Amino acid sequence: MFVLVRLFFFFFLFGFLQISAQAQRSVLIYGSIKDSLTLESLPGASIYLTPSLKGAITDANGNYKFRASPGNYLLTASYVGFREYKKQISLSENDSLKLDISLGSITLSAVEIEATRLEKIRSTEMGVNALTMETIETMPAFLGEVDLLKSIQLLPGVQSAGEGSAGFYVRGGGPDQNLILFDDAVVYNASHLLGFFSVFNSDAIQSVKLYKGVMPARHGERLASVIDIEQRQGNKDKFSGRGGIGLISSRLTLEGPIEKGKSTFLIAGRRTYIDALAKPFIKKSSPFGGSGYYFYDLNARLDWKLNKGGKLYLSGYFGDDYFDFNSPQSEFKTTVGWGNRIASGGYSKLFNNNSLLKLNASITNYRFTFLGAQDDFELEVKSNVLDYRFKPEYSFNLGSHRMRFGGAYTNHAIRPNNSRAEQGGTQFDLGELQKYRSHEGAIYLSDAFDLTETWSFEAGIRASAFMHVGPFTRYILDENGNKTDTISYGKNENIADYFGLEPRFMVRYQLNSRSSIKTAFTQNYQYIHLANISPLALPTDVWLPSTDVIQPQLGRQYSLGYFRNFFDGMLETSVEGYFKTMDNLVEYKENTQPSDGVDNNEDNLLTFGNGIAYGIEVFIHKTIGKTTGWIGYTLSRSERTFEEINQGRTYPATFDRTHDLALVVAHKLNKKWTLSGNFIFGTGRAITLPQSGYFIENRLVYNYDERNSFRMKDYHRLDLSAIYQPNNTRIEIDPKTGNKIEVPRKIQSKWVFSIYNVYNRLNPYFYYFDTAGRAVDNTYKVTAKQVSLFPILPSVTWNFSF
Amino acid sequence: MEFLVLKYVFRILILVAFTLLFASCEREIEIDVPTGETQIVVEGTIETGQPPVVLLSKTRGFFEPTSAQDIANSYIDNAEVRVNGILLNRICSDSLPPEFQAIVSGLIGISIEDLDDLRICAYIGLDPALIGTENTIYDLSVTAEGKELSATTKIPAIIEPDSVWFRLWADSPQYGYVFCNLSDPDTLNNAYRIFTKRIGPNDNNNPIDDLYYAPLGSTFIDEFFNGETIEVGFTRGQPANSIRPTDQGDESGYFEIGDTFIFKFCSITKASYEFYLTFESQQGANGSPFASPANVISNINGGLGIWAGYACSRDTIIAIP
Repeated sequence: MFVLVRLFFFFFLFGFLQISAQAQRSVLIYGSIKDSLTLESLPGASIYLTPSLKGAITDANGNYKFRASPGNYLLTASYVGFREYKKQISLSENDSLKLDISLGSITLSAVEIEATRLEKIRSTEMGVNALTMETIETMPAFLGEVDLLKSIQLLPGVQSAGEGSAGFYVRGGGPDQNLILFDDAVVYNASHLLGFFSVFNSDAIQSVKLYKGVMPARHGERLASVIDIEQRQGNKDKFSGRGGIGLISSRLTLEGPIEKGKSTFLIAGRRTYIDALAKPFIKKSSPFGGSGYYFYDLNARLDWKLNKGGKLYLSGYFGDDYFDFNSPQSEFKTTVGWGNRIASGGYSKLFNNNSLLKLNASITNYRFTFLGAQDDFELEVKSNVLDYRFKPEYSFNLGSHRMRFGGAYTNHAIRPNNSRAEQGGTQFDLGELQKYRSHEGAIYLSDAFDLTETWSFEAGIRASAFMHVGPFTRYILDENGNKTDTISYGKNENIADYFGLEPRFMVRYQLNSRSSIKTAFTQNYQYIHLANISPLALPTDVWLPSTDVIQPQLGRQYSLGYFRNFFDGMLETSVEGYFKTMDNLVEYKENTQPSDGVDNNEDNLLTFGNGIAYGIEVFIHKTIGKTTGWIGYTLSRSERTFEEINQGRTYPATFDRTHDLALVVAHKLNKKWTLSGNFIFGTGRAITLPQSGYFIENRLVYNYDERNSFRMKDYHRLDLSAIYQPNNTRIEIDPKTGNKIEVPRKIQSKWVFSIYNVYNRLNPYFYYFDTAGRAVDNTYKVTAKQVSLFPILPSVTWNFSF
Repeated sequence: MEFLVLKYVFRILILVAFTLLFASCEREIEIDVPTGETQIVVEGTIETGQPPVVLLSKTRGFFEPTSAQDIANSYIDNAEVRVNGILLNRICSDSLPPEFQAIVSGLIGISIEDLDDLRICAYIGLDPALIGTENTIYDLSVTAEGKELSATTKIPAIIEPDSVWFRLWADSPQYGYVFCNLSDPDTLNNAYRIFTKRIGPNDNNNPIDDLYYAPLGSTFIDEFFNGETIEVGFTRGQPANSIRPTDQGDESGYFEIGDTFIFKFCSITKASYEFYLTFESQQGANGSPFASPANVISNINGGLGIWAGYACSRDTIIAIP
């Protein structure tokens, strides 16, 4: 690692030396890029010169600034959804050029990725994908529910755990290794109904960007990925709304200016009504007569434009899942609920068109509650994660260097599986309630610069620290798991602390205007861990911080990629390879029982190990034309080695997937109809099956040998959808001219028809074994059974806006 | 006791949610599982006032055919088994003395009548020095199929329940569970296992049990109630894969008003508790996607299974509300 740190400083200093040399010869080009219609700034727009390919991306306020050598160039500015701007320019020595550009919007006709065509070739970024909501809304959706996380899972290197699992996996990492940021606040559980729907209401989302492990220094905290989700600002011009009525849920978004030109609001809500729909069909006397399930979520955002380039926003998310089982035939009653409460506030200010200050403060509260009762016995289990987080960042340009300096501080308070049980007013002794308090902090510095016209670098260093503090009671156990002693820590007493350096390094070598080679190295520490109770990610899984027992996870990723555009950028292609190592991963010990954490520390139930993952991702993406879409293919391997699992032998991770293929196509048939389809193929999930059995008390006992040595059947599925947009205009006579004119209707509508699992593939959800009969009369038989969740499912959704 | 039942329910519950909300589909499939390495399985008990009884078998391929003869063939009849250094007698089912028939039948799960037709050998300690006694440690050593196995257990002190009774379930006019009051000694790691045996009335609709059966949730430990007096309830134990009408449908797991049954309450070691807990946990999970596959925790060195000491008391109860 020291070699890498030295390399970083070498390039960093070397880059600075270049500034003085270049400053005298190069020409400064600066200005802003705006939407020609609304005059709103366009952050993230791309501007570059051909043939040098020097250029920049606009900052949060739509401003850009870069230097180039004197000469004649074709300047191109572009932004997704807008017409390209092209202009011939001539740069002479010791001059500067200010150019404010307005881009005219075009109608988004099909699948588009928010990365301009040459940007992928030019930037140092690799392992990054960004999706616009327009892209996501065109794709077929499960039961008509447009889903951001499900769409991300169609990108190469990202794997879904299949139906019925909340988790997704990036480049062989675990489900806890994905940092999901919602307006810069952390989301701990991003799914409703055990993963069938994500918590993000598509109507309230602006964009999503995914970093697959190769992340810039400003991001950290997790090993595998960062998913940066930005909520939409409200409509600046007029009060408007949009929504949809679907088979299982409906949603409504209202937005508009509060004070025109200064402030806006957006509020969006969604609720399922499967419980209300099902109720008439379930007899009151049936076992499910008194049971129900629903989820809801509510998004809100307020934005203010302040004087002198300042901006302020407040954003919030509230969502819950609620399930109750209250059978008239049983004395057993239960209520299970989980959900997130998130509040985030941000302030940004631009100084001298050259530097930007961004501040963000957020609160996240994720909680899970189980309440079960039978007769006069009652059991309650509660888990929750409460984070207070502050994140400042200052970015500025220094010559050709694009610098970022910032930090992050989080105060974590985690309660894992706190239980209470009582019978007839008598409390069971379940020990002290456990609460883990900790501080997590990081500072970082990064520099992106073009060394020459062909070499571009981005280097960064992130220093992170973590401290687990009291009050806390540590239970000391002997080798048989018996409690032998306890240690009590006082308030704010240091129990364990860690420090880690996280160097990041990305290099791009431009082969020509159509292709480039990139390589990157990333080292990350992760201080918060998710202990999975089952092979599937469930809301019952428990988050735990690093402690004196749990060491921080350490990940290193090496990647190399070749990027090439064909047909004048119409087809973007890339091949990326990666190899990563992961240390100090956590798992529950074999045979851990739910009650083992009672009167004990939850982290005493864990065991620790390492993992490696490697693979190749191929991405072919057609961005322009009536037919758009992509093919993403990943060939990969992910392995784990734990001393106390599988007798110390290396085994495939549950989500190890040799082949993973996604085909996404959208075709604009005419003005009214757009057709789209997805095809997904993935190698079957790795599972553990009993390899032999024996009898105890005449009952078959399973004897497992190799962990995850079997594969379920391969997963594949085809989804289709058709979007019908009726003529949303009407003809009126212009009272002034008397001519017929087309006027937009007050309510614009769109119908989405989709079919999930078109050829009714019965993909396995899980396998189990059924034993029946008796050996004595030769009727004893063990049969394997496969449970599948979803057959072919058609759906229709009506979307509207006004 | 409900607490112990609930921990299984916790996982099953989420499965219920799925079933409720979605029309999941289930079908039989063929799976090709290569058989793992063959291991020797010990199923041995020593109970207060009883001789040690040990059965030895071999693990079998998971999907191998399982007729009565197949089961009989998996038992080992040429081993040398010792308890506290004393060689046990090999007694095979075709020549089993009547007083041992019920014990062997209970361990194997094959009825006494069916045992006559098969040749299964048990290793039984006929030496009076080996009759199970409270607070005594028993070492087991086995030499079989070229392998050496060993284990140690203890018959703990008998802890009898204060009282045992039948109670109707909810508003049911007919069916109920067995409850007992237990005063747990003020020493940690007292573990228990219970069995039930219905002894009357015996008619076609309500047959008596041949053997003692342990219900799911039969074993528990005083981790959460050390030194306290608690009330615990249990369902009725029944044979595995039973096809008797009373073991299926609404009656399954309940005692019916008018039943006479024996409630056998035993103290066991913590190691035995861990074996039976993980055994029952596995039976309850049965491949559920919400449970991690895990092997049963054995106390046998060099093999699988259990060598358990039991200190038992028996109460006869008539199911009257």
